[in-house]
Amino acid sequence: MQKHLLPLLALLLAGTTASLNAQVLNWQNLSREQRHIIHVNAGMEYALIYGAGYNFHPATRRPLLLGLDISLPVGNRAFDDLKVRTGIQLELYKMNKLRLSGQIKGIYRRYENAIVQLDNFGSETGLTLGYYRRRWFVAADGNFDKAIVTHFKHSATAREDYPDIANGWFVPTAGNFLYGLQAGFSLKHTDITLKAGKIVSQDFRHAPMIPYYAQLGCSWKIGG
Amino acid sequence: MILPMQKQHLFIGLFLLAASSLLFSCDKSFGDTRPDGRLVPPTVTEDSSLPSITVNGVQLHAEAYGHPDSALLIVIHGGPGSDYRYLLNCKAFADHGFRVVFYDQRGAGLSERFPQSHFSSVEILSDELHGVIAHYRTHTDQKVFLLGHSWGAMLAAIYLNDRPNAPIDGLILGEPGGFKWDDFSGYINRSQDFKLFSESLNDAIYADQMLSGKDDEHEILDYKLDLLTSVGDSKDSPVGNEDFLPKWRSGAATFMAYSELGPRIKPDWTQNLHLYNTKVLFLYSENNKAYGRAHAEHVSSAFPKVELFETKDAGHDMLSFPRGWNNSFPVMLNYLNSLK
Repeated sequence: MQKHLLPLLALLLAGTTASLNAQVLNWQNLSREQRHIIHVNAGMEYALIYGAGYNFHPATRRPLLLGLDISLPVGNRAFDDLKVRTGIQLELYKMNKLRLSGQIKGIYRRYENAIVQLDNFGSETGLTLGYYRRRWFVAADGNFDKAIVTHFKHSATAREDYPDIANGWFVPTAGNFLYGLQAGFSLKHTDITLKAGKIVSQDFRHAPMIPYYAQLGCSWKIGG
Repeated sequence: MILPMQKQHLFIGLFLLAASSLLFSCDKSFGDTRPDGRLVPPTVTEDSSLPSITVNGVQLHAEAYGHPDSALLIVIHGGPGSDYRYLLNCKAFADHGFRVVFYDQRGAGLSERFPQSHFSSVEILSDELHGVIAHYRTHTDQKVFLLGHSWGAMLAAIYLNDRPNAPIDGLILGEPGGFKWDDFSGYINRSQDFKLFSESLNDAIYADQMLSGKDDEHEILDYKLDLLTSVGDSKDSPVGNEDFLPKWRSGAATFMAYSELGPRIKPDWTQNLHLYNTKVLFLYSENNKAYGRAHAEHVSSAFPKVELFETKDAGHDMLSFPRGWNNSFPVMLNYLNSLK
């Protein structure tokens, strides 16, 4: 299996596919001694994206992860658009193989084109309910992605069209629900995960241009 | 002392409390707190100093140049959901004995806004064009010419298809996508053929996660469409424009409504075009790789008499930038003068 993982890792790191969202993890397979988890993923979330992240797994009675991840959309200008998230993901409830976990994360996002540079701070809150075995898992998840405050800085091109165009902080600016399914296959130190679902605006009437998300991910648990 | 089960419930409760406080923030409108100013200019219903007319009960941003009794030249902008600012070069016809009329279609530019549900058919825009002509026509002998670009050229054809006997004395069409659904959708697909991993595609869609609006929040919906349409002016767009197109303000509700309506009704607006016996001047551009002579010949064949003209050294918006305008204007003026 290891020999198959290497090409997959190379593929993900090369960013030849795209996207990234929350850490998808097999909680049943996570031992107390595995303190560090790194992950890469790629897929589609608002755009074609790829990314990587790190989670710290402290020695607590209830499993939780403290994480930081970054995702970048594809394109020929690196870091003009990006998303960085940090926060906590924790197990809320466990009954036999059923587990309910939640996450609350802070988000920083940046977007730039010829018209405007947007800097956004937001949050992502979500729940995942799944059936977890040591070798595999399947779960349903729902997240609310809120763009709470966004700074607009317009270019000279934008001011040519509309000289009075506003620059500054707008609160709030967006909210989207993401809901779908996730599943994974686990080895002792590795999770290969797949998640996919739908995105709808907070008014439940509109959707982004790409109203779906999908992510292929790979996690390595270090320790134990 | 807190028992283990109580502790678990407390844990879940605290998490749900934190999550719900974020969820309840969905009720707030875009930019409840904001700096001074706006993201898009006000419409005629918000700024009474803007020039406007009322047609079929709708307040339209409009202005006219030239003597009121001169031959009417109605300029029809593209989109749906664009505006007439990018066609203001056409003011030059006023110096050659024409009454040049510009107007923003309802829901677009600086004209009155409506929710998406308002745009249930294309006929309302055809009726609106009829009303604009009637508004500016001062006498029954006054000749009327239509100059439509892109979607505006399609709307001019829709108008003639709806009203085969309308007194239209000449017709200039600039790169209409098509008068049948398959022609139109084929052109749109070719014109939006961005590379999968290009910056342009990313520029078009990545801001979706930071900006969203409800049905009546036209400011942010229109602004988002401004961001989207600016991608069409980028260097890697196949439509071959020279630069960014000047505009007042996009109209998101009309754009979204007709984007959804088209695939549903798959229109054919050609049934009566063979009845229009005046020669049509049909412009297409050299640099629009999505259009080309073959598509121009195919689309224009709905009319019995056509003069095709390739605008050299220009892209889709050949009437907006110096090279395209300088190449097109004399041909258009000759055509209009021959029919005046």
